[in-house]
Amino acid sequence: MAFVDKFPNEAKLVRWHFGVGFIALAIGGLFGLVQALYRTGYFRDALPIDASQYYTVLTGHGVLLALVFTTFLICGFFVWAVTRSLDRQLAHQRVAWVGFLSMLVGTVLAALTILNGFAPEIPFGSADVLYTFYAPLQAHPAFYVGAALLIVGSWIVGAEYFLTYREWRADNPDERIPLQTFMVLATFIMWYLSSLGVAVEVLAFLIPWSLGWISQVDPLLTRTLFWYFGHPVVYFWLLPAYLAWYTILPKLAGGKLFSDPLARIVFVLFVLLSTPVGFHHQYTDPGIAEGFKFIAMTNTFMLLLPSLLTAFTVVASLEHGARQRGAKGYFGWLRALPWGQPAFSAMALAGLVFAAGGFSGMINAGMNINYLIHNTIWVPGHFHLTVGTAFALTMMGVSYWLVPQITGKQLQHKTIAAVQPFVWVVGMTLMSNAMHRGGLAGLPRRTAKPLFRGEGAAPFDPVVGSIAEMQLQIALGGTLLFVALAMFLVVMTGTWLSRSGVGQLSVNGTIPSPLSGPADSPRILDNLKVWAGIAVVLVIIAYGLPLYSMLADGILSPGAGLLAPLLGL
Amino acid sequence: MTDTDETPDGDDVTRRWLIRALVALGLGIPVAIEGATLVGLVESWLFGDGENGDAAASTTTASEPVTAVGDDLLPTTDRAETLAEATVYARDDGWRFDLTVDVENRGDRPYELRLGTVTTQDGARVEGGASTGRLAAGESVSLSASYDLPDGETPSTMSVVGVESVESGGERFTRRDVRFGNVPVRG
Repeated sequence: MAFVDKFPNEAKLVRWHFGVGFIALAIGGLFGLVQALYRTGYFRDALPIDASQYYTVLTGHGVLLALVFTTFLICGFFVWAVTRSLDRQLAHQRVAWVGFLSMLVGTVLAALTILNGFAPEIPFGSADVLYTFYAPLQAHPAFYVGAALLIVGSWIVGAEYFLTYREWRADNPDERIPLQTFMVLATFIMWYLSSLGVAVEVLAFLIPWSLGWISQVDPLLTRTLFWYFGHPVVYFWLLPAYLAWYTILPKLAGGKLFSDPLARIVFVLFVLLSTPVGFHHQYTDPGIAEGFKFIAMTNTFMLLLPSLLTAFTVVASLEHGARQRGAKGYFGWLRALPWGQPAFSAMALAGLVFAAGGFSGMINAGMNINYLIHNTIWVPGHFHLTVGTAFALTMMGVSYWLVPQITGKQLQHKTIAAVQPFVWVVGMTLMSNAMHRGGLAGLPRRTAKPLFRGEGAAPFDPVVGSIAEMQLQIALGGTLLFVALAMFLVVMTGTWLSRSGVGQLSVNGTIPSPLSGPADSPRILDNLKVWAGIAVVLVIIAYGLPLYSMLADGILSPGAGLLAPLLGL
Repeated sequence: MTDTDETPDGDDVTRRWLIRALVALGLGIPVAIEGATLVGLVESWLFGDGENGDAAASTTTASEPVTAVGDDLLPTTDRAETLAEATVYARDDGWRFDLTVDVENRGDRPYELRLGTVTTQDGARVEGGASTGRLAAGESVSLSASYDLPDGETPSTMSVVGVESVESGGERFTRRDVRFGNVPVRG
């Protein structure tokens, strides 16, 4: 029985989440193409924007993809994961729908303010504040209200996962938490802890500031609160991809997950270490003691461990699957994997590309070598490999597999789907490779015309290749990515609009039991309260004193002292 | 159990070759790109920057020095023509370049400073300018000029002429295309 037949209400909720996410993906992806062409100067005059509107496009691209597309896909995917693994309906459908509606309203509000940058007649003011929003850039209050509603909506949907788990636990007091639900709950514990920072930033500072209720905010404090959230949000994106790689990918390969306990350990490590690392985005910020930046750096390097464990476990699982299909030889088993299946190839390729993103992330994490690439185009080169491929391409693979199960419709345009992940990877390699090299040469990020000064490429110092060749590669790679995106949307649209009930689905939601099951691991792993408590302690160690010193210095006016607002200073 | 796609036998060979081609290109192209980059990096490390560094240096030494706020527009004259302010204002009704030059006629003959055409980074020429008029010896004035720039563009150069009266009753012209550095843009 397909998921849509067994859990029709949950399937509808997942469809709505995915549908909104896909719309955000389409618009955000189009913006990405415009950006790539404008910035590199190819067909710049033909594009319907000018240099100042580039930053509107940039904000739209970042917000719609890194915040909206991700959050909707994750929440929808997790509804499926919890329902399937607990084998029961959500405890309170209405709670989940309220959360979805909050996210949707917030998205519309924020999107309107961003689009106002193109057309001032659109209601509310503009919001050219990029997707890492903090002072001194100020948006219309509706942008911040929208962002808050998006975050709070995800909290509400997340609460439903815990409420459903609580009901299951009451019926199953001694059982180990099913792996997918364990992963969902761990992800959301991390999400609740980490999104507190941006919630405080928006509610206590940015909204009052944008409404004129307070005349200024402390840029260092608001940046710190944002980056408190801004690093763990990447794990909010990554852990759902890990859930897919750990639980779905082995099955697609014809095998089983190598080790359930290792997967649980990985997610526990992310609960502990995701949040107390945000200062590695603020290495060049004054006002934060070097010692605390060092703590953030060591925590960040420790975060390599769960990703390396994942690489081992997932590859071992794939090898098991390949050998189940009769593969032989040290490397010959790679050829036996189902590369023609788009769900498999998308996820496997996403994992391979993520390894490259992880290596460039190590450069970002090192306090001294970070200075070489800070604020250069290296940084977007890195995160297009991680969120742009590890998350986005994985979710495309998940969609190829899951959308038939939540709609009851066969996947359409299968040849396009089979080709699409490879087009994505080629495009991403071209673009990201050039971005990394450009960053080493000093090309800035977040700049409409990096070569605008009439000196051309002279101020830059490329190590490998020329600036002109890098610009061409970025334009070409960005165009290929857009083509791959269009291919994905054609498949999804065709599938969504096709007739349901035509023949039996060629996919099913059966997930085989792992080779090493949960019984092989200590029960303490399932005690999420312990891990949440330790995570809070680690956050207090990493952030307690620095935040206290910023607040004591003056919440709104640095140097004015803690009581300045009360004294009218 | 895997999810399998059911295709008629006759298409199996074609599909198998398509998949082989996809994997070969989809993995081969990225490996080739990254491999070439790695080779380039190692070569650069082993054998140095070579041509790239020389080209950058020669381009830099050949270009006109940049004039920033506080610098003299015509350093070869014995008058002071100090760039006091230079800002681009980006407004909804258009971008505007405003500048102020403090001119002091330290010579013993009348002098005039003329600000002329501005050329933007993208090569657009913006006509306009201002003139101090004839300044007597010892006289000082602050000369302001404003240029309406195309949206999104910033000034690259401006033609400047110093006109000095000479003994014979004629005039001596000192011309220069002043090259601006990074002019701040304000909203």
